[in-house]
Amino acid sequence: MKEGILFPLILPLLMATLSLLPRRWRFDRELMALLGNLAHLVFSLLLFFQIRAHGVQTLQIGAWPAPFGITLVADLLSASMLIITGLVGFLITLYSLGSLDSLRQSFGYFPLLHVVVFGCSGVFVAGDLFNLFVWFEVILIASFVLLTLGGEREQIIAGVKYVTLNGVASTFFLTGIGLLYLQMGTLNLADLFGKLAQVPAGGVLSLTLLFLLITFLIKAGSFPFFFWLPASYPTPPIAVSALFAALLTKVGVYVLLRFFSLVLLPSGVVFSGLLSWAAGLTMVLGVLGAWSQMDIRRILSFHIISQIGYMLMGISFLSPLALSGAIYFMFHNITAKTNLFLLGGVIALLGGSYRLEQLGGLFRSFGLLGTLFLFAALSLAGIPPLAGFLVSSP
Amino acid sequence: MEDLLAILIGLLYAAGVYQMLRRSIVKLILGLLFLSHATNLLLFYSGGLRGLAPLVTEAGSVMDPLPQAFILTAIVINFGIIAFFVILLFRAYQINRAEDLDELHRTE
Repeated sequence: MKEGILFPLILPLLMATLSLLPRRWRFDRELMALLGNLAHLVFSLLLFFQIRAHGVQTLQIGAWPAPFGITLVADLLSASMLIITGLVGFLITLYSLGSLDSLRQSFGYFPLLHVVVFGCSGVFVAGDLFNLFVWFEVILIASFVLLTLGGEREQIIAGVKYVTLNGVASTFFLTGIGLLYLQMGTLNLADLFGKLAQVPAGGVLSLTLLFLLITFLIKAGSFPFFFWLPASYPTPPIAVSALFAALLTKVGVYVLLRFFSLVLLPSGVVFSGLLSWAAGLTMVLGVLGAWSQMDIRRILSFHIISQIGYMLMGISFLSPLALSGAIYFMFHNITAKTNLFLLGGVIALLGGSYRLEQLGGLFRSFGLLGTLFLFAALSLAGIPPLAGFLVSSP
Repeated sequence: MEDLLAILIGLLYAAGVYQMLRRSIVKLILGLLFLSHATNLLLFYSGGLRGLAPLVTEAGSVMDPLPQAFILTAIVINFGIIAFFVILLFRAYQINRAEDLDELHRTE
């Protein structure tokens, strides 16, 4: 069935729309969010097995032929990303039910959550650059509102920085798209892959691709564009931070992966040296930033940056082994980092603060919680029996 | 015509960047607006300036319709984002009572 690729897209959109209806016309919002995300997970799994059995799935929207219309493509990587998106969406919904204040819940938290899942799923199946731009904007506008929902002072200030930088990133993206279309006459990624191999690499083409590269580096939170991340992620409620940490930067990394393999490689303009340097500096600066903080959320936010650096390093090597390492690390990081954020929320709930110096002795009183945190943190550090070890020892 | 458009796009980009660097929150919005207009014009330019509207009656001198569809989408998206941004900056001003972006930075 070719339409299987559509279900992970339609479902969150439908859920978001239904949750916006007045109360007497719909089910419980919370129940819808839980079941909707669970169904997203199931449909993604079905898509995964469909791809395993029948190969890459494509769908031309409205039956417009390939380089002109909107193309949706899903391969195993897309399907895996969809699965983890559904899983994260489900778990974070579950966590929000217990942790989020009722005011935020009644002011559109759940519809926005669905829209973020919708946008991320869209990015993972987008087959052309302009479509990708639209999905990015879907994620952005939902995340703008999620970030500032509640209207606390820090949230608003973080929102200004986040919106400004992402607004600039969007214009960069669109500029890159315009310039690329001017030269190639197509934006379909598969079509670009074929056509770019036939044209000689020139200055204008390099500049165009640099525009796009910078956009994706901003989205991923890489050096030298990472400063928006620690300024904005720690400010919303912890469930929102966890959602952002799990999905938003990884969307950038995923797109970089596609961009490198489908556009940069055939064009002959490979910024792999540039990316290695950016990745290395991202790794080091992220850790240094995390080191200097005392707030759990800030430490974790800076640490995201450092781990993005690892993924970018894997991409920049451009060998199959390094790429699979980067992909594996991405999945590992999504689960471990979300875990740490959510556990950090529980710790702050029990200890009454996010500041480390006020949280002493928690392990003695809540041993199980401490052990759980230890597991996630050790996995992130790459201690042998846990998942992180496989990444560190290829 | 093409040269004129190229100069105009360049000017708009320059004005946008200049306005964004000026620390005032109102000029920040103006800067973002200029940048997005410049980008839309660039997309328009990428469709080729061949004179005729993209309604295919005979082949040859018609413009490429695809970038125009892109621009329409981009304009709608930008409208939404700018509307949200204006409200957000207004809230930031209400909370902070300062029109200077550096004041925002200091409170971190």
